[in-house]
Amino acid sequence: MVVYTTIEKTGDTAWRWTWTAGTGPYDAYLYGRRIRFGLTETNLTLDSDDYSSTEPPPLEVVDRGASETATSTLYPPYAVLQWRGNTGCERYRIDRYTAGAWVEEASVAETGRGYYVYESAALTDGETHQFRVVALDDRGYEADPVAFSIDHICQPDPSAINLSYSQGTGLITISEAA
Amino acid sequence: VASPYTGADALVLTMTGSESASGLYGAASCLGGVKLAEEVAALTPRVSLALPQVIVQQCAGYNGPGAGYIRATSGTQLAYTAPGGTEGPAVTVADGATAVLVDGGSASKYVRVTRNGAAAFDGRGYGGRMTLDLVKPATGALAMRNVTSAERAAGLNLYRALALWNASDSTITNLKVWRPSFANEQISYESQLPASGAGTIAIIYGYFVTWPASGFCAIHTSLGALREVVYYTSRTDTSLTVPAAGRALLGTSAAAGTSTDLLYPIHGIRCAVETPGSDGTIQVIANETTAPTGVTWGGGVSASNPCGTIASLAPGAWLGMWLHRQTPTCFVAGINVEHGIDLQYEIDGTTYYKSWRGLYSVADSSLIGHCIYVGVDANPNFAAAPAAIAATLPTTYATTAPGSGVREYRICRVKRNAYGLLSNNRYTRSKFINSSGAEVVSPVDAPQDVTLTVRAGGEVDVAATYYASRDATPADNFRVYAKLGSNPVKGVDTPTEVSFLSSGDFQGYGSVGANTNLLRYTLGPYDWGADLRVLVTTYRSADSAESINTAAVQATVNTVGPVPVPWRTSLIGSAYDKRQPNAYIDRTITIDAGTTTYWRMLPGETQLWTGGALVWRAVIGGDADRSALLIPSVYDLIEDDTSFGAGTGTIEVVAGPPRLIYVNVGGTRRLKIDATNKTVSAAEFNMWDTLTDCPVDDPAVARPTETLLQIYDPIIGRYRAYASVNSSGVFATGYSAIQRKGG
Repeated sequence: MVVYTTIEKTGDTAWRWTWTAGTGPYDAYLYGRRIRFGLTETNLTLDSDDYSSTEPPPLEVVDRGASETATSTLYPPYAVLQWRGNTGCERYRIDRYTAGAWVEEASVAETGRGYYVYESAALTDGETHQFRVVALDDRGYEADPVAFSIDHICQPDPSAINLSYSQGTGLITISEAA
Repeated sequence: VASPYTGADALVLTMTGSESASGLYGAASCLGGVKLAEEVAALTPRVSLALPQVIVQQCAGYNGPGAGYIRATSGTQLAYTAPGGTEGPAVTVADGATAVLVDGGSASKYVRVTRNGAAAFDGRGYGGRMTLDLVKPATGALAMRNVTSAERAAGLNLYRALALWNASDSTITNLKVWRPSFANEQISYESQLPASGAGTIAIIYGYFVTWPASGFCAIHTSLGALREVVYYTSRTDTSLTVPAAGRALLGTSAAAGTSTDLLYPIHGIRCAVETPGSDGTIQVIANETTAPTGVTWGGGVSASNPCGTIASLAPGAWLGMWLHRQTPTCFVAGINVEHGIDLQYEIDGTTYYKSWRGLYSVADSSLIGHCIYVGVDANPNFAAAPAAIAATLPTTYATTAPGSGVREYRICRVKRNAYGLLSNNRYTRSKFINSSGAEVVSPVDAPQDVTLTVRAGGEVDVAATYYASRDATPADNFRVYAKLGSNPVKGVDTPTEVSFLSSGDFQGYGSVGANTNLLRYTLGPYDWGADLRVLVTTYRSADSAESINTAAVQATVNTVGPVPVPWRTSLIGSAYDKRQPNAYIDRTITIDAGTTTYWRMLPGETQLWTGGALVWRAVIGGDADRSALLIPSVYDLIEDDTSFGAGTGTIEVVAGPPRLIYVNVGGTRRLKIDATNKTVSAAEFNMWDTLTDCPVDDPAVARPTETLLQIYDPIIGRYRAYASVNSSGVFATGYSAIQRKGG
């Protein structure tokens, strides 16, 4: 991972990273997925409504020229479900067990390609997550679901912190942001 | 070895259980009983670019992890390439049939597949090559389950029974099983463990550098007999640290070592073989923590020193194989802890090798916490140990007031979980403390990205950025403090005030957002070797408010040569510094006359033609949405990282058929266009990449590690790259790549 010189907020949901030049080029990863490839500059700006206005997303930039590996790819925060297709159905519904009920998360069309893969969104570290894949035919009839249970371990995703200072004690107090 | 359950595929590892067992793995699975039909996966394939008719049944562990490929060599035949291997022989696979596909370099590297579908394999495009990303399975029958923090604290022993089944019609002989090592063995010449308790093991040279950071070590006598298994919690390049709780593991007893002992960094497991009784079952243990009885555990580490040797296993026969995994209380928590078994056997006069691996994780709740990194007037050093580790928040950090001026504390909290994994955040928040110990709030935001660039003649360019949107009442100037030999100090040294430059009045520094202000200022000239320190602040003239940053940047003047002439010197009346109107270009550059292969370059467009047919068309418009590489829909894009061989020149044409056009990099063919079969092949395709900006007017520009494909951009009035092919075979486009009829 490169050494950042600055991480700055440059807009309501825009963040800019600059880093010390290494060998280069650089690849940028977010939540275990490569979002930029072969960067030759030593800075990157990301802007998305998905980003917090108080804490930048956990961007990881690696120096490909120095053969660095992104740690977020070793312990990706998303789950990968793979199943063998059934040409007799029309689509597959991916459900996730949330708050005591199965909730549809995605739908994948049966296209005859044999194997199907679904990558979830980033999951919370240290929790068991349950998914199931349900095949549906063109009339909406459901097959028996195939369930996946994942004891998920990945890098923690921290929330923002607050700093406060007391002149009397000379102490900076670090606390979770509300 | 195309037939399934022959050769390397003759020996199959399955689960055990009761007759009514579901076959799904769980805590109560594989505790002995009968041999179940469910196979234990050696490696798990993640399939992409599938051949729809091919179902992958098993991937041999001897393949090793990585990307393997199944290629349709014809409508009925398949061939396999193991990770890092070579393509094996093509095998005809009929609809409904199961076959074994072996790598060209080793018969022990194979996949077992079943064909499900009568349609011919599509040998073109992505459909012709099925990628198997082979990974070690996490948890399961062999890996067993993860270890909780409480179990680790108490120590945990788990047992599982698997079945070694001779699924072939031939007798397996000389079957050997052993626990693998992570690295080569060493000799404990320098120091050894005492008869009991904690100690260290040391070797002469630094070969422990190849060993895991922590793990199991099997200590064997020089004659190969197992003396003891220990767990080391840390190491240097020459020594292992073994705590008392790391002694006498996996059924061994603590014993003093000798200077000739052999040390092996083993997988933390041992195994025993049980022959089924006349009822076809092996013993069933009460639960996963109960050891089987009446079995002999082995501690071998290689084929020449195995855990056990089975002289003969008849066709259809099976043996129970018990595994014991121990987690001592001193186990260092972590994710993807690996263990497994290796096997070797002979069948019909040939020796085959097999391996199974599994991954599990071990938690330690005492690791959960917050690593507090602190930098004083600088960013924290994340490569060093944190300033503090707190189990919970809030927590405090003690500051020290500076003797004079203002001191900045930059603080970042990095989270750590029970497996020792750290979050990736590096964003810091700051507190500024003055010499009275009072907090100082900066009236205006400090400049960012302050850099010094030494130019010829000893001049130094100072650059910085100020984001005015961060301040309710923004600053309106930069202040530049420059000093030789020591850092400048506000209030002591005299600054130079420099007005802002914004995007509207400054060309050539790329896109600059609204409310973003730039500093571009030149200092000097200085003598060669001058040690220049520069502090840049922001300044609001209305109330004399200045940003409170104090850190200076430094540069040593190391250039020679005269100062350049001023660049805004008028040369021809008022025409200086005016961009010339864009010329209309229409160029045809022949690549190969015999095949009528040529580039055609127009304003904002570059076309590649061969034999009267368009191969692709790059267009560039006023914005990204109108810029793309357009490839006719009849072409398939194939990711293919096999070598295309040595090439000549930058663009090379082979008349064929098939008609091939190569883009070469450094004398190697890296991109292949098959104009006959309509494919474009490269190791990897990427869109929306940042390309090297090169103004050269050639349609293809050879650079040391890449070849740039150029287009004339009428917006900026010069040539630039629209795509590149690099020395790794990555074909990257600066914008999107689109396939549409007619290009």
